[in-house]
Amino acid sequence: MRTRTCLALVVAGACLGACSALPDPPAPVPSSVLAPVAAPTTPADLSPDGFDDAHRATVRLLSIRCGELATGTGFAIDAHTLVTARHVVGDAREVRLSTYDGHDLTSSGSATAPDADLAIVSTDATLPASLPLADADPQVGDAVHVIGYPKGDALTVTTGHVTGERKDPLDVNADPVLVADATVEPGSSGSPVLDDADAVVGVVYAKGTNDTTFFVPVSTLRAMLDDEDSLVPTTACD
Amino acid sequence: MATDAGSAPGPPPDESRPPAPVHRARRRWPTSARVTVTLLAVALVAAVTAGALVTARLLDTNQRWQDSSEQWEALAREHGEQASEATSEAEQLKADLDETKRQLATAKKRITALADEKAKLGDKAATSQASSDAEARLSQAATDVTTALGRCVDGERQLLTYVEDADRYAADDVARYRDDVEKLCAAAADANDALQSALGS
Repeated sequence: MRTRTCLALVVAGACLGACSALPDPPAPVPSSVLAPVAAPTTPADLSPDGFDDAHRATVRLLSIRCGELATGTGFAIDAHTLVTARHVVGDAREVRLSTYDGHDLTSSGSATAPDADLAIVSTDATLPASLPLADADPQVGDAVHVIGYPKGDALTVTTGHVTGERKDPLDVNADPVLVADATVEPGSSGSPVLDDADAVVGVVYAKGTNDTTFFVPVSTLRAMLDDEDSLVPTTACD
Repeated sequence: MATDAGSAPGPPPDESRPPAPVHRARRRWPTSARVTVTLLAVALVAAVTAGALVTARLLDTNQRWQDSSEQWEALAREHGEQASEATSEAEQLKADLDETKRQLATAKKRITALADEKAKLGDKAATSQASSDAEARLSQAATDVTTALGRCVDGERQLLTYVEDADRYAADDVARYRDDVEKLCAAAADANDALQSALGS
């Protein structure tokens, strides 16, 4: 009897020991081991037609004066306000606007800054997009992009760097202006000078020699916008 | 030779009778050996039993792992097919996206070119309108000059008749009329100067 008990214990112990050394049975196989796929999302700032805001906000100006026509560039800073150069809209009997995609807009008035080659043009229709103003002027060496309608031709982007600051050689700006090596042409006046984040850091007003560009810094533009009472409504030529 | 003096001598051994079997003494194993053998036997039985049980468990476990392996392989093949299809689909989508990007770039260039063409047409229209306006202004100026000169000539003729027949008119009236005629002619001259200036610009 005792032997049988011992035998049972030994067998049980051996079985337990051996079984504990065996691997456990496999876990059930899942139906899928694929990681969940994130739902596709659409960027909130996606352009409706493939053009970025810099293109959509830049407008071509045709200034009709007494006996001559001139083209220039402007850019939207809000839904109904454009910024351009003073000499583009000064003395104009009529200013015609057209957008990057050929839509015509009507100007409802314009006003010029007294001591800077800057002007604002108001529109009745809503502008397609607007550009933010940078918080500070660019520094020498900063990359800049100029988008506009050189010679009144198609919308074009040129790039360069800020090369310096100097007194305005044309004496139309009371404050110092900035110089860049981006290429511009007549008709580029009023073009926005943008930084890498597409924020406005200046406004083109003149072309220098050796493909240099003179532009009014954004600080001057901000000062003009902050002092709207100083703006002078544009008077048409006789 | 010594003998047992107290007992009678027994009969002599019968040589013809077979000898009685000799009982050999049974040799018993020592207790320790028996215990050892017993334990070994028990151990053997236990080992055989445990081996059988473990073997059965081992076979069962092996079968389960084999089943699991087959299921995993099937799942892997299914996912492999899905991955292959997804890769193929992604490649196709990427190709479509590249083509769409090219088409978008072309469309943007075309939109920009059309906007430029439209703007140029607008420039021409504005130029034509400005020319038309200038021509209209010139025409009007020429008409004004013609009218002013005509009035000047008429006045001069009338003044001449007054002068030729001066006795019939008061001198003050003739002088006043002369002044008026001179003003008309001066206005005609100014209009002509303006016309010439406009034509020259």
